[in-house]
Amino acid sequence: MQIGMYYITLLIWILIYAIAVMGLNITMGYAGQVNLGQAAFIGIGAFTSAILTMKFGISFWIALPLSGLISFIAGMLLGAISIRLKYDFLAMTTIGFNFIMVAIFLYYPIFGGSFGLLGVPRPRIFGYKLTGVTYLALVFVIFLICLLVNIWIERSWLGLAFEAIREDEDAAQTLGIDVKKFKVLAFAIGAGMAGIAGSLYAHFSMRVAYSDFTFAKSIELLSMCILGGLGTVYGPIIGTALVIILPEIFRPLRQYRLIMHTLILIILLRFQPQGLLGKGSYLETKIKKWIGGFQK
Amino acid sequence: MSFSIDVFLQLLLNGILMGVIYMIIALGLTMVYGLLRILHIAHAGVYTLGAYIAFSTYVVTHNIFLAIIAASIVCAILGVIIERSLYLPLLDKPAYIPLIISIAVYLLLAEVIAQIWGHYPIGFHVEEIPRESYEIGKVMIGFHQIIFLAVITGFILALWLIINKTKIGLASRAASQDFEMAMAMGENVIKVIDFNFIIGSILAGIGGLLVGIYYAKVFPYMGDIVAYKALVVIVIGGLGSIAGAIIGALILGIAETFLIATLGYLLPREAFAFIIMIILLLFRPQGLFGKVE
Amino acid sequence: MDKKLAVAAIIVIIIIIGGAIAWWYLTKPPAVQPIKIGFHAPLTGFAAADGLSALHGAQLAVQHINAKGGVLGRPLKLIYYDDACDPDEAIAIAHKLIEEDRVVAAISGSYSHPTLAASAIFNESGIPYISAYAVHPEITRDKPYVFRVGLTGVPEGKAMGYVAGLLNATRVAILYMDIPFGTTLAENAKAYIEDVLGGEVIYYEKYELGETDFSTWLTEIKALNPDAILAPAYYSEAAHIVSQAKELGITAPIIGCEGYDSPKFLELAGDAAEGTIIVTDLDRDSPRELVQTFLSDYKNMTGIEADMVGASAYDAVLVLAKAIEAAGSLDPDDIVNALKNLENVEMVTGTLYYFTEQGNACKPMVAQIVREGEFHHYADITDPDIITPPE
Repeated sequence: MQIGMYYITLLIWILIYAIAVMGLNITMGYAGQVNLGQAAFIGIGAFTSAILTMKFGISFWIALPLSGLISFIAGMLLGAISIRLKYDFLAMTTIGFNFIMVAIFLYYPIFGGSFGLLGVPRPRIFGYKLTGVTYLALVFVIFLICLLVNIWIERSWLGLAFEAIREDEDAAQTLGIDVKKFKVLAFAIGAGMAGIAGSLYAHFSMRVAYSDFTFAKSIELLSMCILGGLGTVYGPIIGTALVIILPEIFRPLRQYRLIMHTLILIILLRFQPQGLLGKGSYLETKIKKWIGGFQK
Repeated sequence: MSFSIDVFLQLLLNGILMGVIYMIIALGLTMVYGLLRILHIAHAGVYTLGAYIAFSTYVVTHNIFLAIIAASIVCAILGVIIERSLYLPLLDKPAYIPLIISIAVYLLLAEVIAQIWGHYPIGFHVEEIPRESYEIGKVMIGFHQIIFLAVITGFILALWLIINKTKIGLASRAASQDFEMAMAMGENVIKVIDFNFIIGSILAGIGGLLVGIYYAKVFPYMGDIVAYKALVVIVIGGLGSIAGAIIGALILGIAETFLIATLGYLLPREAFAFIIMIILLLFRPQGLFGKVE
Repeated sequence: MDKKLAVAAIIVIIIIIGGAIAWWYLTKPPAVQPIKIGFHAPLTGFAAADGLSALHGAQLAVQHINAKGGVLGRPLKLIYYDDACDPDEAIAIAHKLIEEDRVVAAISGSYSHPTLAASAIFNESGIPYISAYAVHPEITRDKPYVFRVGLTGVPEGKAMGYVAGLLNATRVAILYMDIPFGTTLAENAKAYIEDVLGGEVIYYEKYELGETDFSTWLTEIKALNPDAILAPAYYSEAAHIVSQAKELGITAPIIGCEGYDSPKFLELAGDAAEGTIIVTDLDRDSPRELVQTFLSDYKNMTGIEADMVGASAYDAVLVLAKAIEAAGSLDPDDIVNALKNLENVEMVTGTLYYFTEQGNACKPMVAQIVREGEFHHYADITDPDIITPPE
């Protein structure tokens, strides 16, 4: 423990949340489908992984992809319910989904009630327990995989289909894109990534409880995503890092932390709604100019 | 499970009172939604601030009418500030941007209130409204509950008159039916929007005061209880419909009360409300009273 | 010449005196380093009211101890952070306190969720950690470095049943908050009433934390006409329960728990609080000097009346200081051994008889009744069958 666990912990949180925020970015940023309940999918993944490893003795290495899969299926369900709904009804339904999932986590004993499940095991590799730096390495590898998937989606036919739906559903339909199928897929991929993040979350904090996945957490995830820039590859990652690090820097002003956090969000959305790195934002134009200067 | 008629009537009264509390916030939300298509969650913050302004005014002056006036003025101003500085400039942006701003403003207001008045709930006892109960048949009703029902009913009647009988009310109805058309017609639309925010915010402020007296306390996070529930109410009622919001609120209040009384506490109230909402949306994606477009 | 000699002599003398002063100054033992005690509590968010009470209680204890010369001749220093009642925050704070601030020991002035999360970190790192008032049984379970000075749910629930017995109540309604605190109290009160008193629980229902409208439940309870209502709750819910019960015309006495133990309960409920009996560990009528000094100094410091939460945090610091003094060193293992060997320590919240194997305090409880807007002594609860925390 030469490097403080404190900094390693911070870094692990940033990477775990960044995975979930990248997922949200696929649903909202690429496909334009509002999702105000992303925290519920992290919860589904976290509980799946915790229950599989604790109650069924299944290895973490199997539980991790399974958590992603179960969340993926839950995302398909929410997507299917939402297909007929227009913008604000869709937003409300996803908020409702979050509240309902939290209530289920709280009220069904298999999820451990209000204290949740304690003693989620640490993953082991060849008998070696992953904690601290080694857990960071694990999270980093999975983060990289998710980032690659994200980049691939952005550049593939899938990304094109999502973009077409985001820009104009009717036009996409006439182009022969199966709008319903891709909408459901957008929800499912976003949810699946959140599920993976949830599994990593559970095995790192070694406990899972309903209170970690409330609507407030969804708003936090959303603000991470928007802060960096919705629909960009690196924006969500930078947004996540900022939202997690800023309150740590401002810890001496801890009394006013929530006030500053909300103020920053309001001011930013009011004047830079595309986020720090979004298309046409102040930073993006500066960076482009700078890079352009080099290319000349 | 079956109830005696006394218990049934008492539960019905409880449910109606519950519904009326949701109605206060839901009315303001639906008025704003009708015009701007924005889910105005910050409204719950306006409501909380109204309760605190009224409380402080009452503590200083011991005059409940001054408290009402102070709360109304502050809330009306706050409502218009939110509208002018945050909502109007963002009308052309995707709807989630004003929605998230609205949620952030609500959290900010609650936290600022907590910093000024403290995180503690504060007891709010008003001398003019003694906490006495009357027995009608076997049903108990508190004096504060009678006042509460009377003021809100009066307010809704007044609202109905304003919307249906005054020039600006009619203009506001027209604008909510075809906002883009009205927008194209110019400056007057801003007045209509201001007017809606002023009326809605005054209702929220007085509502905050009344709920504060009703539960004998003000609390920085008192808006939590109504914020998301009111969203469900206006969705059930069909976004933007005033009659829908009133009926939706009563349905939710009564259904909730009887569900707890018959089945016990199966799920937290919020989750139950959202389940009703999602089931309804599966069959009627435009809400109970919403128009199909 | 003589003049020059005199000047030289004076210079030499000045140099000698100056050198002596400098030498004394440089070799003087360094200023006494304070002993650092970590502390976390929710200072923002919904639980901030209790968090601030706890912080003030702990600060007052540090003040009192330092005024008497500190511990091992060194003053105590409280290093505190806001956990916002969030377990993730509590974990980050635990690491910060251990690795950056290098505290000797730490105290939780927080609720069960954050305390539970942080307790694992402190235990893993071998730093003594005392929970002031969090009730969850898992906080101390199998964690040799973790202790608790507050009450646990099982004794408190039994004590609520015991108070029902004092009132000769045989048909009892129980309305409880659906969190482990409420559930544990309700289960144990129910068991005590049925198994020990031979009474009957005729109504047993739950509600959610943060509920404000109890008219539905109370309407049903009124129709059943019980002898007493047991309602484990926090002060905010409790105030609503007693006022709404009164408005519905319910006359059965209401028995509460330490969650009611706050001046805020009296303020919010107003006249409706009269006659409510609660089980707690803070006896405001106690003749003990420690209690009365605490009550008056807390009031002077904060401007509000002390509550159970503030008193518990005060006691946690007090007990920790006693243990460090007894250990005679700052070695974590010595402090833990000293804590385990403490006996009959006078605390504001009653005498700490001893810590059990699992680190829970065995101490008496007290029933208080609200009369004329104040808590007053009603009955002592010292039966070992009730007060001993189960392991």
